[in-house]
Amino acid sequence: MEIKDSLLYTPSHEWLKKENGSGIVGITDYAQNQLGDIVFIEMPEVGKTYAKGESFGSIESVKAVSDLYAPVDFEVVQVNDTLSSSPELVNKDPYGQGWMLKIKIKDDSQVNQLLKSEDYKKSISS
Amino acid sequence: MPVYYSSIKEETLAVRQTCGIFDVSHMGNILIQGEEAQSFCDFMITNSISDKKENQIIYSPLCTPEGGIVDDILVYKFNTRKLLLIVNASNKGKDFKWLNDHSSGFQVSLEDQSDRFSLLAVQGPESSSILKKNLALDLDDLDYYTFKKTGANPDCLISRTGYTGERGYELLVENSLAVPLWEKILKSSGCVPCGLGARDILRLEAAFPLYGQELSFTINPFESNLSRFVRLEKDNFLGKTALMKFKENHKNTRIGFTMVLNKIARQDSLIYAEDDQKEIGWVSSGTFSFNLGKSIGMGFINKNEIKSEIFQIKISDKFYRAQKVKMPFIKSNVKE
Repeated sequence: MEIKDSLLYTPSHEWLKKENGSGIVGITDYAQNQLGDIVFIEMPEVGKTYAKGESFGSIESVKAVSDLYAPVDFEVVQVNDTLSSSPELVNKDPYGQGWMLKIKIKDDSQVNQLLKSEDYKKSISS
Repeated sequence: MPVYYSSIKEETLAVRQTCGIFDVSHMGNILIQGEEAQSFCDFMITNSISDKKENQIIYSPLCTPEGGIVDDILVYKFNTRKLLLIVNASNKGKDFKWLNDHSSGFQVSLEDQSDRFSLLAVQGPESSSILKKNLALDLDDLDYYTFKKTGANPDCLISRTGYTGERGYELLVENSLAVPLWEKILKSSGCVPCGLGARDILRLEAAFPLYGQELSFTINPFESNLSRFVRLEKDNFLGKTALMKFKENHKNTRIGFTMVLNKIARQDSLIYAEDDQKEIGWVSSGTFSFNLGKSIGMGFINKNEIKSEIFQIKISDKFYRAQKVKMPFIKSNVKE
């Protein structure tokens, strides 16, 4: 199970890569492995805003459907459109080609509340 | 049996394209022996075994006197005095009791052999070449829905049966032989171990019913489109009177559908009419077909409410359109 030190995490298994005031969001290797073969991903529209903890989309595998939750307050800047035709990219490369959103972070202070890799690791092994 | 070994998708595709092996040893098997084994069996099932030859197999519902379904089973005919039933894992205790409770008056003995035998299903277009190569079996004379002995033990069998809609075989062996057999079959490249996840998608693509979803005490065989397995011309059998009525008049019918949008409609989701959102049925099974690249499902709809090929399915408080389609979803290759 890969957990990248350079990323921040939520207890609901999203990751955030912070780049100045913007960020990239996806789901973790652990999450994709729990879901199994992903068949559908529902993504939001560019320009929409979400509050921390709000559902911004959903991800569905044969086994289950799960909501995707906003790690911080954000506005959608770009959506990875490739995922609608190739959702398996989330299984194959969850931290790379399987990225979901590029976002504008609304409240920088919330970033500090996210889990660091060590803490996320503990949360999934407990 | 795990949900998957490598991935549900890879395993599902392997069975349609090459070959997969399933450990379905959880299935039950019940031996019926005695002077009246065949007539007892024909009294219990809705299909007919007495007009079948030795070494033939039939599929049949087992019904209650009220016409509900106790289980769906396979009957292997050794001869008129010896028959073997392969039953669903979740129903084996219930079935054995059901058979015992109705056996008085018949000269039969029943034996639940489930704990002694393992069942391996080898399915896919290359199943016969893989079995021939790895087990040196002669399969050329084994027609669809027939079986024969393999090896010295008369109770070790190979049958041309399966639950995938593909050409395939099932091997019933004593438990001690199962692991070596599994390993021997997997020696060949092109055969992959498959789990429950692939099994469910494959049977759904083939539109085979699953007990608890398309079959139950409250669903009769006519509602589940199994009329060809109900032989009402038979003399007397459990459920006959009720089933004669259901043939003329039953409320629901089993349908197949694909989802218009990217969403899986899962078991127990409700089905509504397209225009007025009147509730007309429910989803019994739903999944994603990797072979078709589509979300597919089966469900039951009130026959009088089918006014359109399009209807709506409610999934977590939203309505999604579904299109009624012909079953099976994929062409059956069982006889090829």
